Amino acid sequence: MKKILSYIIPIILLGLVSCQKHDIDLIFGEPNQRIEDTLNIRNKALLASPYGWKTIFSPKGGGTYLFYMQFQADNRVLMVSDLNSNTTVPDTSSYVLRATGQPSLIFDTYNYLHILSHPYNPISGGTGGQGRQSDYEFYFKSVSADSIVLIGVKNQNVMILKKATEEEADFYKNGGISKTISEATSALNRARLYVDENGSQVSVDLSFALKTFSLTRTDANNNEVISSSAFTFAADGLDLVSPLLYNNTPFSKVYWDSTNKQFYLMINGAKVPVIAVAPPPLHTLLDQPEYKYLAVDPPTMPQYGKFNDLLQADIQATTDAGRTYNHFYFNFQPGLSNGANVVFGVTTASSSYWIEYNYYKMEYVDEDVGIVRFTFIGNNGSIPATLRYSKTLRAYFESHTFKIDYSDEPSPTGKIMGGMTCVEEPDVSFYGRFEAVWSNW
Amino acid sequence: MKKIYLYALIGTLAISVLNSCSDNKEDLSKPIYGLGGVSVPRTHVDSLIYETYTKPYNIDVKYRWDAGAMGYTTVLVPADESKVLPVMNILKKGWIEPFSEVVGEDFVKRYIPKQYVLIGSYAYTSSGNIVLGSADQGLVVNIFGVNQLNLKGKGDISQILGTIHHELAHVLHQNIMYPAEFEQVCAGSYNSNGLSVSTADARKLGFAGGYGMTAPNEDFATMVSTMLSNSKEEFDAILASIPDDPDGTNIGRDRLRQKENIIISYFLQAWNIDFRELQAKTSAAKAALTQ
Repeated sequence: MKKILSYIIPIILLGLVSCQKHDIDLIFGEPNQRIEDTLNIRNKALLASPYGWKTIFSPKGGGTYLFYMQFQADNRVLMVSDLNSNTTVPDTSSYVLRATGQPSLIFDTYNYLHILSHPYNPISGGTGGQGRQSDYEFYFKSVSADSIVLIGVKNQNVMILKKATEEEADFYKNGGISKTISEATSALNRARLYVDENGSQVSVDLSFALKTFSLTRTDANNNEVISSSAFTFAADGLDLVSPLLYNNTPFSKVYWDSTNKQFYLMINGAKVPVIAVAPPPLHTLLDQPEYKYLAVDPPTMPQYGKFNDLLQADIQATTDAGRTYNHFYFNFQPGLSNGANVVFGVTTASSSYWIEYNYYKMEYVDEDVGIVRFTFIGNNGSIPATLRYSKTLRAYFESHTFKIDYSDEPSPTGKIMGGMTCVEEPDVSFYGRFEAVWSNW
Repeated sequence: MKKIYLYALIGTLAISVLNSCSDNKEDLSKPIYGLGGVSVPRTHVDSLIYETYTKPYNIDVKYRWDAGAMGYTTVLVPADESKVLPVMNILKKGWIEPFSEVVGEDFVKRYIPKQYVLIGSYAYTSSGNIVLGSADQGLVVNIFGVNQLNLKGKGDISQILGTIHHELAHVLHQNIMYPAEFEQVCAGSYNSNGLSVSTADARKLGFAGGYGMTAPNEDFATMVSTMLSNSKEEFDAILASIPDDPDGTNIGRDRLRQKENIIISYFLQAWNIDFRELQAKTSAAKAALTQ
């Protein structure tokens, strides 16, 4: 009998255990249904912000960028970013919620966010084949009334979506970022910026291209101390990524007053304006060290119209002589004693040797507005062959008068751009960059 | 005797226990969750793909990011929606239409690769090379870099059509094998490292490109795609550009010419396709796309 029981009891127990799975289902429900429900809840959370979301996103590969996103019911998402000038215009793409191990949000067709992940580094600015180690597939870490925290699936970047206000939505969707840039650029064009701190001027440097805001102070040893922060664009100004100090009070916002075209800080409830000092006329600076040379590199500084035709004639003459035209330049501080106060010259490739070097007397025709004429004094003994390298331009400079002024052409980093416009033929002009020292151009 | 009853009793009990558990009320007709992928509302692009490619040819175009189908390890970005239809149009003009006209709709419907995966960026391999396109088993064709493609550029159009013509050649020889004499032409010159051989060097040995050196099947596929991507005149010009060997002969040109003839007769005998007519149509389509 015992033997019989030892067979029967395990079978009965097995029967009981094998049927218990129905109970588990009753408690937790159908797993697939639960996944679907979770995805729907997450999607509803994304759609719940009437004016969309904004995030300040810093991928592992560097940089901090603003993204504005508005999710729409048909799996579309509108996006704006301050990544570059093209991304300030809204664009829509697709998004989807999927269960990929966890419920995830995937931006599944190309939009501005993907620029940071692009493996081609001229697009992403990151490492070839890697991009900025960014993400466009995210798990949900947490969802609250005002924010959603996402974690990147591939690179674990954290993206915190914060509910945007109506004002912010209007700003980002209507090209607010590019409007701020163009307003501020034209209002503060080449101006020197500073804030007053206890009676001393603290220089302010603002770069829209690099998206940096810097303060420069001079310490007790007369050394420059620069504190700098990256920023992103907000509806009311610039959001600093790391706070800076004014009078030892931290601030992380630089406000833009669109009416008065002025930036300002708010320190303990008081407005501290960023003062803009318009630059002095360019021709009054030509005796300053950093304005010694005005250099023109034709391949990187393409010239226009008739002036370019004249320049090309000289370039061709140089090529015909078996040389490669490099730069032409003015030296406004040659330190000569023969009555000349300006040198006009040409350099050719393979060395920075001034293959062509001519002395001129530059005189003001109108000193108030900066109109000058050039009188040929002589050259450094160039042979007739090398004189051909500058023949056409010299002839033009010697027979016209010119107005010296700043140029709006894009500048190499940190360079001041200037140029001359012919008074008799106002559509003929050239531009170049100022250099303080002669280098291997 | 008693023992037999006992075993019978235990056996009956065991069967009834097992039976009792199979008697659950699972609805087996219920679809498996997620089997058909995630459904999203159909966009204008999706509708046009359905009407132009899916309904007539049973072609699926996958352009929304799906790591499972596109790659977990390589860094890629999804396709730009605005590039999807133009890329598919290259396929239509350079593949579907010429083949439908010369060979017939049924041929296209039967042998065209059925799934196209469009990916925004190129794939960067650990060796620093980039992958332009790939294909699996004559079924799936992956087209990389669609966001960067110059849709009017000859090189980029050739890249897309070349991948597809190449895959088609594999499908054809998998159905009806090319004649054995084909692989005799370059016998002895096949080289598993062919990918690292320059096109010029490969042509001197009688191959359309380095990849064709890796195996006779790849030789066949690269020959067919090169012949279809170029007009007869352009193909002749390629042959004419191969420099003579030091002894005054030109092995490369002779071998390419022999293989060209074998392919033309294979298309006619095995598939009843006039290759010259097809070649004229595909190269004309390509020329039209670049305008």
